[in-house]
Amino acid sequence: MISINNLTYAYKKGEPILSALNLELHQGKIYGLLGLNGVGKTTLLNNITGMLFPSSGSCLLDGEITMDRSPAVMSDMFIVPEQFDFPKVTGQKYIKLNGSFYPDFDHQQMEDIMSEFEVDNTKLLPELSYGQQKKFLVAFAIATQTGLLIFDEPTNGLDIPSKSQFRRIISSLDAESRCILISTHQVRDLGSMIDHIIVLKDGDAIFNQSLEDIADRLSIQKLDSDSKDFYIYGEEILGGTNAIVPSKGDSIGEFDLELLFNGIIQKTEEINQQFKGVLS
Amino acid sequence: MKNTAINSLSFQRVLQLCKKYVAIKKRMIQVGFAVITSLIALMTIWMLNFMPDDHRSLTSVFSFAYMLFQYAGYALSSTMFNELNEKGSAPQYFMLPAKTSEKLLSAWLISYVVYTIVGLFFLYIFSLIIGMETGAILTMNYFNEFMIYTILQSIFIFGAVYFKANNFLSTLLSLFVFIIIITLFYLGLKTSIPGFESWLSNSLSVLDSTIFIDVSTGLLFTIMISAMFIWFTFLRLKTRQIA
Repeated sequence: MISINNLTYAYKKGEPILSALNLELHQGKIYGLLGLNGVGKTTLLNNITGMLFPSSGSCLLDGEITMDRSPAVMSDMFIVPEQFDFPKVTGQKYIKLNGSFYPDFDHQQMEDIMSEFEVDNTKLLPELSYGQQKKFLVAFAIATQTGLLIFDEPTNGLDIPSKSQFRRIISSLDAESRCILISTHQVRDLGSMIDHIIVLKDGDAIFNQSLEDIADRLSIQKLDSDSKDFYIYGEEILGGTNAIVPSKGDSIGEFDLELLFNGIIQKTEEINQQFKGVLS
Repeated sequence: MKNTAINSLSFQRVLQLCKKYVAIKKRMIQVGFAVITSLIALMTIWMLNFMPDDHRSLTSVFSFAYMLFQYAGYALSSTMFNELNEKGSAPQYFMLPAKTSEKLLSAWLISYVVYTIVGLFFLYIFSLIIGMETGAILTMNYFNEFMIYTILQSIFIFGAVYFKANNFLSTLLSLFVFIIIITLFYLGLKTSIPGFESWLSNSLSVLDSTIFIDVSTGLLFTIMISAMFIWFTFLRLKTRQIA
């Protein structure tokens, strides 16, 4: 679906924020794009969606260069940016004005999600709270039926019940026909939504594995504080250490994404070592 | 599998974009209309009160209304791509599945074609209200002004894409700077080259008789310059990136 080839992007000459990045995103998967603040997640998303032009390299959606911003490409992708402003129109009017640009726009799905999110689409959009506006945009994004759906920090500004609603809606989507990319630095908010993790650091994707492969190769265990030699990465908790250890075929249960993320950032080589021979 | 047939120019999308522009700018259009109408009404009352029998007051009032029509047109043109200037609204504009040419065409249709038709209609009604001769608006004087307006409108629409903030003032300032540079250049040539002024005066009189007296040449010149700026606008819009 999305092919990113040797993508380099620099805001200032000689200081690339993304450097010769290669990535493939496939239909039917939900990707979590993780990284520390300022690592270039939003820059990558803006390059993917053609809103920024790569300094070198390319981003292709089904073989078409996204920076051309052709209607065929644009009607097959939608981004919910972290920061957005709505014009002074009601939700209904917004749908009427923008929905028709998407050939497969699903009005019924829009209604259903709005009702689940409890957003009133008869009010002027700028008069809604930030969280309500975000929920409206999420609903609109899903209803466009685009093949590629991108969320940039989707849970920022959402209250706890809304975060759960968001996770529930994303998990219930017919993901087979879509590729969903969720960028966040709030790793905990992703919960069990994603099935693939991409971690950005120093302008490159330093980790790119499916949760299935992660579960095969790594395990999270609570160890005694004096067993440092046996784990790849660990964080001290009350009464021991929460640690990432090489898997020995034992089940890991609920994966602690935050621990894994911290482990990848701190011990990149050691963790990637466990995935030798696995295609990302 | 994407349907690449939607990459061809679609007048349905152009129409939809026009509706979108109007919906977004509705409030601005309403306020602008109210302000212009009030200014014209005040000017009319003032002129007719102080010079009730002077027919020149009618022409002055009408010229004032015509000037407001022009400046409001420049202001509207300058705001056509405001969405691009805001970090919050730019993604929605960039991501809208429409060709760059469709986005530009719809902006031009609203800010020039529709605005001009509606504006001239109101000016015509106004000329009837104040008792001017019918067809005053079609005189050569106003026609020449209209050609200049057409060129300037295309410059302001270019400024709407070129500048990233305060588009109207930035374009206006650029025009002033351009005029100042030309004036300084002229003064420089005038002082350094003997006989330059008389040569220029002869050349301008020739130009005047060929371009501004001959309607069709003037029209052609206007279309060419406007088309050039519209083309620049297209190129800038196509290569514009998020701030």
